[in-house]
Amino acid sequence: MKRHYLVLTALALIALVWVAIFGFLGTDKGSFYGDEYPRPAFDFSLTDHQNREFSLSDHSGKVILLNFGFTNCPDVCPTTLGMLGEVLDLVGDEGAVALFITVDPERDTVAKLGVYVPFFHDRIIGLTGSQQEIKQVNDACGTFYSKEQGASESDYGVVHSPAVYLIDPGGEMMLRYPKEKLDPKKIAGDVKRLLL
Amino acid sequence: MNVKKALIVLAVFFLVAPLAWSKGEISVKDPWVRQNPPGASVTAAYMVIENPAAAGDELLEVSCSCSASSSLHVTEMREDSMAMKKVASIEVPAGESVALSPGGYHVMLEGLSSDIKESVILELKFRSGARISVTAPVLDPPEATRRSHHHH
Repeated sequence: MKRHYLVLTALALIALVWVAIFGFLGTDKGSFYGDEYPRPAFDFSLTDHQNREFSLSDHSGKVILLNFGFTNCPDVCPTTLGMLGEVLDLVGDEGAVALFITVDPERDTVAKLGVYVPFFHDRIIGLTGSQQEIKQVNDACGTFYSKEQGASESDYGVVHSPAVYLIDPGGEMMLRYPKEKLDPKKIAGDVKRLLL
Repeated sequence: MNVKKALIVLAVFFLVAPLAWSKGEISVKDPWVRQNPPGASVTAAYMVIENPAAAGDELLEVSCSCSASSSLHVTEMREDSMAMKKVASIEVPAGESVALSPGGYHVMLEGLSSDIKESVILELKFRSGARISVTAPVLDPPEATRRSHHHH
């Protein structure tokens, strides 16, 4: 009989702890849809798809959605770019910018990005640079990419992060949307909140 | 006792038999091809393959006269990175359906002959010898994204 009371008390205590933890998460961290992803502040300069220099710091005050990919990618990259186009339409104003940073600078020239990127949205900026510059941006974002050789020299794919990264109007890396969180309405919700 | 056993056997027979008898043919639903953005000579084809037959089958090849080559791929996550992997075939177990959809299995079409428009014809080849030809509409990215969201 006494043992039953002990078990009941233990269960009640566990329940209390759960409620406390979820209550805390619910009120404090549940506010943004994206996963919190704080990183040390960084800046970079690359070349945009209209052959102009692009510096991250020139765009402070805006919410920046950053994505890596390459034009020879048939499945996930265009899906994500289409999704980012929808986010920009939902946000509606000039306060948000989406960046498509190539992880295949050898094939993705300025000219190639120039015809490819605007197809998705006129406010998506395609960016390229040297291998070293692209790697530096990946390092700063905590992402990784590597070439995967196919049957011939020219036949290769690039393994890369499918996530979308959000940089807040203060220029700080803030949120990360992994592959399973690429929901345009919810991402637009986060962006709008930051632009209020 | 024996009557009971016989009844059980009969019951099981009537439950299972329709599955074997109702073997429809393998079929393709909702095929579509992503509109390749300007400058991109690759794109992907998607569909749902339904196999109501009693025997499993395997998709070996999907070809299109619109591209120089085609291959079956799956998008795989490796920790935080994503990779495309070639697969020799895609299994379609008996009585099941398999979806080729963005972020999963897809047909990679490489070396597109010209800008594809409206629709293309896809030719599917299965291990069983079955061959299916389907007309797949070519969809724009936003449209395609919406479509893939419906399927999730």
